[in-house]
Amino acid sequence: MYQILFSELISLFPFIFFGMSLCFVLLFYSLISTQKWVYDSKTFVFNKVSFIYSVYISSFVIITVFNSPSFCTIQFFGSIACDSVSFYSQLFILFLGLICLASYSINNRHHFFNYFEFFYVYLISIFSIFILVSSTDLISVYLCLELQSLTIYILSASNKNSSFSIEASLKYLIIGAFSSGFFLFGSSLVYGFIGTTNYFFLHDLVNFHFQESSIVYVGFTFVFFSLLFKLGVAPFHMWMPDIVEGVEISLSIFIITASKFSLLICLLRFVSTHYLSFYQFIFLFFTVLSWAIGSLGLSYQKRVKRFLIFSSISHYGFIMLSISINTLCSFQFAFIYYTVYLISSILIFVLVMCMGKKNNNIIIFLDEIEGLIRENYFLTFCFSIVIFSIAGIPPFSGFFIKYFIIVSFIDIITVLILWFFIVFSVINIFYYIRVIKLLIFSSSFSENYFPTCYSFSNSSTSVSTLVVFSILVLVFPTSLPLLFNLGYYLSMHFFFLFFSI
Amino acid sequence: MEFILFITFSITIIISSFFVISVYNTVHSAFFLILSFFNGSCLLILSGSDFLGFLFIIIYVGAISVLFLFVIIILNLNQFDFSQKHIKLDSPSYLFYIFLFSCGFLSFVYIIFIMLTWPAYDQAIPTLYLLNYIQIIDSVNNVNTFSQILYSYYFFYLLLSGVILLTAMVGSVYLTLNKVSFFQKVSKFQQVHNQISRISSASISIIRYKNHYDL
Repeated sequence: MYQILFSELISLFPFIFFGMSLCFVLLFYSLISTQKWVYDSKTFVFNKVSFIYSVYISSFVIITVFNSPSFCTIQFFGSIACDSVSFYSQLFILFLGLICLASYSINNRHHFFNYFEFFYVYLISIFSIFILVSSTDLISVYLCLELQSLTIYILSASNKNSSFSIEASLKYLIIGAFSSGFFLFGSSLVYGFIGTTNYFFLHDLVNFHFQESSIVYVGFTFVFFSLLFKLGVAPFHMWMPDIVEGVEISLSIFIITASKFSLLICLLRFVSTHYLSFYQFIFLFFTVLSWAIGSLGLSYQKRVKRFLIFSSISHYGFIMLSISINTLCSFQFAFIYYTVYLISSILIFVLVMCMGKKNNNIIIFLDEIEGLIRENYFLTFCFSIVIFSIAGIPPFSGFFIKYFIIVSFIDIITVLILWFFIVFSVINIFYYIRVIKLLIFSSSFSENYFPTCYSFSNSSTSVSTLVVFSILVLVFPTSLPLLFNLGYYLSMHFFFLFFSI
Repeated sequence: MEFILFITFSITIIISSFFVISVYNTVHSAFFLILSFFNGSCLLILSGSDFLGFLFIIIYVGAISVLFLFVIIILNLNQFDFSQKHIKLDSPSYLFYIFLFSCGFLSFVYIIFIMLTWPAYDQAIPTLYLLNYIQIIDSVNNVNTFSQILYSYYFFYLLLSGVILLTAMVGSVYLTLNKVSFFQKVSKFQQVHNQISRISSASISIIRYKNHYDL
């Protein structure tokens, strides 16, 4: 029978704590917060989130104490691996989740601030990402993907007054069902022809014993494409702008950072079991397509969120490029690129959130940030720095990561891809510079779009410290060696995980 | 006996699936759909794959057909006027309805019979001097096998799917519940319990205006 050793129980402790706290939070809010004395006291209403914050922070502590990255344990008959990849990405995802929760306090005018269910579903989403990051079995990956997308359907439909959010939720439902159908079909083919869904067994069987049947590779390809579909890289990008634009802006930060990060880890875990030779071609094809669509989508883009999403699609091109080479160094660069991209994208969304119009609505169109410098110098300064970093202008770290990727892989990749890179990045930079021209050098100043920005002292202090800190990260690329070490550690684990047993 | 059961179930499936598309009343056609699913699960149980049959009932009858019924009742499709262009079939006589529902009742009785005699498979080991080991090994039925694997090796997946169901429940409550929030006491209809429980001291409250929270 199944027995859990104490050392294994220690490494499972974060999951157990998170699952128990899910039950406890539900009981607490459904039993205690409905009492009349709680309902009458006004302070509790605002501190509703504080309980969930405390769950976050205590899980931070528990992960760092108990889930020590020095050893790797495989739990639940190979369905979960508690290794350093899962450790660091769990910490990272908790950090992202805290930022997204903190960004809700900027625009707390929404009605769902009074609902505890919203934050509860949010917590479940973080829990599903926790397991997804460390799952090493096709079944557990499927279940976690379903749980995560179910929570995002609920969260995106939570703004009931807006028809856009309901539309985004329905679209995400249909798209998610479609791609998980592909996932299930592929994994059933794999199970039918190999007889296991476990990554460790798959790695051994495919690499050492099993060379003949090609239908297994069809199954692998289905799973691979469905993961890419959920990641939203270029040929499958069609759902991204509609959905991220429709939902609440804090939730769109969550979707494009935390959920995409977990999907990337999941994709890397899946790909590192068996790297088929035609994956490289697919990755390169997707790279070029992502650059093309990301840069052409920016052209004459009127809406802010769509602008940011198309820029993120062109960033995915770089990640695909560095994954396609499938060496330790390339995985390292993919991690570093993703980290810097995440920091800059969170920053730019938070900065967009801090700008408001007269009627306290978040800006929707790019024209509304016209002449921002006359209103708020600091906000304009931060915004232009982040835009420069995203575009890849030299003193910022956004330049350095692109530079490292191109320089280190210039011998391996073909010259044609470099030509594509140059052409599309020129187009990209033109539109980024156009935004900066709108911000600073704009001559027209329309009364309709009068940018009355929140100053930073008015919004919550945690967000402002976050903004200042991460702008420091972007400005001084001295933090890059740290990222390099971390990325090396993580990518090393991807390669040696399957040999460590 | 088994042959007769097989014939009745399969004939009932064919007839009821014919009536699903030919009956005008949509609620009746949904009932015929449920009947055909029921008989299909009976066929599966008859052929030995009992777990699949129970899944058929739970998923198709319990979830999907009931969902169909709800949608039909909510949309109120009964008032929909079919044009004369469709092929007109005479409505079946009541005798036929009685026959079909007796078939459905028979299948129901069969499932109940199977469920009642379930533990008999395990306990009906001959206690005489000869133990039939093959029968002991064979008597572990499908449901038992599935549960033995599911609750030991795959208990983690069971827990995860439990969390998925919990999320679905919380989410459906959250999306449909129109909870009046603390600040926004809007009532579009008469709320009697609020009017009765109104106290004069609690009805007036002073709220200090804060710019930040944008009340």
